[in-house]
Amino acid sequence: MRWRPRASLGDVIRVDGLRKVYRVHEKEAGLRGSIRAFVDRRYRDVVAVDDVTFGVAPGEVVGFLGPNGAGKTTTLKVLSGLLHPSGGTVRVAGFEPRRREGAFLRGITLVMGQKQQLSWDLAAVDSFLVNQAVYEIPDAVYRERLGELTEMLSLDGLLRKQVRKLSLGERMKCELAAALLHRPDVLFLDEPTIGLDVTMQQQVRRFVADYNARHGATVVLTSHYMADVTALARRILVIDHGRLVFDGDLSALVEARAPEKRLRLSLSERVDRADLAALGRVHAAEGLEIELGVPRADVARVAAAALARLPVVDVAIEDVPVEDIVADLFAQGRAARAADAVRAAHEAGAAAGGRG
Amino acid sequence: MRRYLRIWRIFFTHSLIQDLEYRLNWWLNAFNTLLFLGSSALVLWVVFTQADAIGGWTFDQALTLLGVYLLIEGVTVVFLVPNLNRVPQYVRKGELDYLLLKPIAARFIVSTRYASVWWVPQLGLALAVILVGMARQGTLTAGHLGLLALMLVAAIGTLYAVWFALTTTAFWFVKVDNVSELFTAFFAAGRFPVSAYPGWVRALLTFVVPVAFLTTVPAEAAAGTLTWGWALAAVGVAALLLALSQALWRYALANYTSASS
Repeated sequence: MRWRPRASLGDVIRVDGLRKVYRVHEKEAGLRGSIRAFVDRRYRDVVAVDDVTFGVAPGEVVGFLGPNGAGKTTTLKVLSGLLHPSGGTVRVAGFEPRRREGAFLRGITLVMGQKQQLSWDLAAVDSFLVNQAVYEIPDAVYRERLGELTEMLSLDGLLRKQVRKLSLGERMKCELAAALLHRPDVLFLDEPTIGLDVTMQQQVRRFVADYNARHGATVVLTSHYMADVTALARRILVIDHGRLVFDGDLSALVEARAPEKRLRLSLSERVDRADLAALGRVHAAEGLEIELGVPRADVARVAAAALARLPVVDVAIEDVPVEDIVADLFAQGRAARAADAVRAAHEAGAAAGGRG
Repeated sequence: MRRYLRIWRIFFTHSLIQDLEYRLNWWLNAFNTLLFLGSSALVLWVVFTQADAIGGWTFDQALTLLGVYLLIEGVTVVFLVPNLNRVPQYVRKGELDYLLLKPIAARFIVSTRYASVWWVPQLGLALAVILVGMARQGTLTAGHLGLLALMLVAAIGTLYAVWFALTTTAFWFVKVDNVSELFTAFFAAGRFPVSAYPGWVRALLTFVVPVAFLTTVPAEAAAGTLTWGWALAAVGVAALLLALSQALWRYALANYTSASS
């Protein structure tokens, strides 16, 4: 696997050994548990992000991948200054985010797919006016930027409607515009397409790519839609249980993790499973639709053999979907942790036995 | 400073836009205020047919006090309630995140974003009652008006500081919806001069819950009976409480940003 150098001087974002621990109070189920928690609160430390190090170059688009609760959002909140790190150092555009200095805040933006900054009962353009005043954007500049964003996001006809009357996708587009009026250099996007339909997801993606190309803004985004990340970011950071498990090119990840290709066959009649297994690893077999895993180097030979030996109607050769590769990565992480736990239990047992 | 004024103006305009959608409400509220004023004045009149003074206050002075009470209550309802009651919601739903990322004091936005414009007529009525009361007392001079204005600013500062501090506890307790009920209950005591209450209640309303500074002191300024000592105390208390509420707010934010998810 090809790892990127940890962090270089020209980076706009530098994160070194970031750690974030939450204190949460534990509550047992039921009324009894609630009463006990009310009287005697017990706390537990949860490590959300553990020793994460990376750098992002100006103008780069980086995607965070990871299952829910992996630490993606926590990392973004630390980068934007909403959370104080428990350990490690973070620099964004030369600032320490946690201090939330004015000059820092004017240079960044955070968009959260799950939360909104636009006022529900007002038209989007009314909320924009507040941002114009807050960021002290001169009228002429404001009009020019609003015009550009209106065109890029096709906001015509949306801006004067009450926000609560907009669809989820329309609202998200307005949220993006509100978040970009002050033309920040660094964009943090947390699940910007969550809950949107496929066409709207594509529009948002295209917009982010355009914006990045036009203004050279640095973009860090999280999503659990793989397509968001693969469409926008060439470089991805995979985070699992607070740890960075991969940092590099998407294509490098695919090559390193997926030495196989998928050979998809449509058959005209059922065949013996043994005949399929002779060709390669049977990944899926539903009726007459077969999917085989075949080493990259052997694809051509196996495809020819399949055509010769089996009643093939149609054949297709595909890369393994990135979803599967990442799921695999997480499964490995879980297996490794489970093994660690078993080993630790063994050692503890041995130590106890030694004493007894 | 100009930026803050500009933003406040935008917020107020937005509140106006939203409230104007409900025309009927405007008239109902104006009517409601008139009714309250009428009934309170009636009670005062009935009481004063039995006695010449309550706690040393004449009818005209008590009328002025009623005006002050209405004005402070009006300011509360127009500017404080719609904003401060939302703080627990900001915390619970994480809406504070966006506010904290703006290059402007988050406390300012939290405190000014909304206004209940419907209740603005009450401010006008209250002002009229105060002026009538002062005219009947013969104290309608520039000096008295100036001191009254200063005492009203101090009163509003005190009220805002205490309420804001209580609301800030939402960062720890999350649900503090009863705070405003509690406060309203205490504040109702401000309809009468504190000297009308027995000694221990008077002490409570002066030193524990500073209701005396909210209504009695400004009304005394209007009546020309306020001593300089109390005037200074009113300004000092307001400044001290504002500073304390700011310290609490900063502490709460530091706590929020290091703990929330």
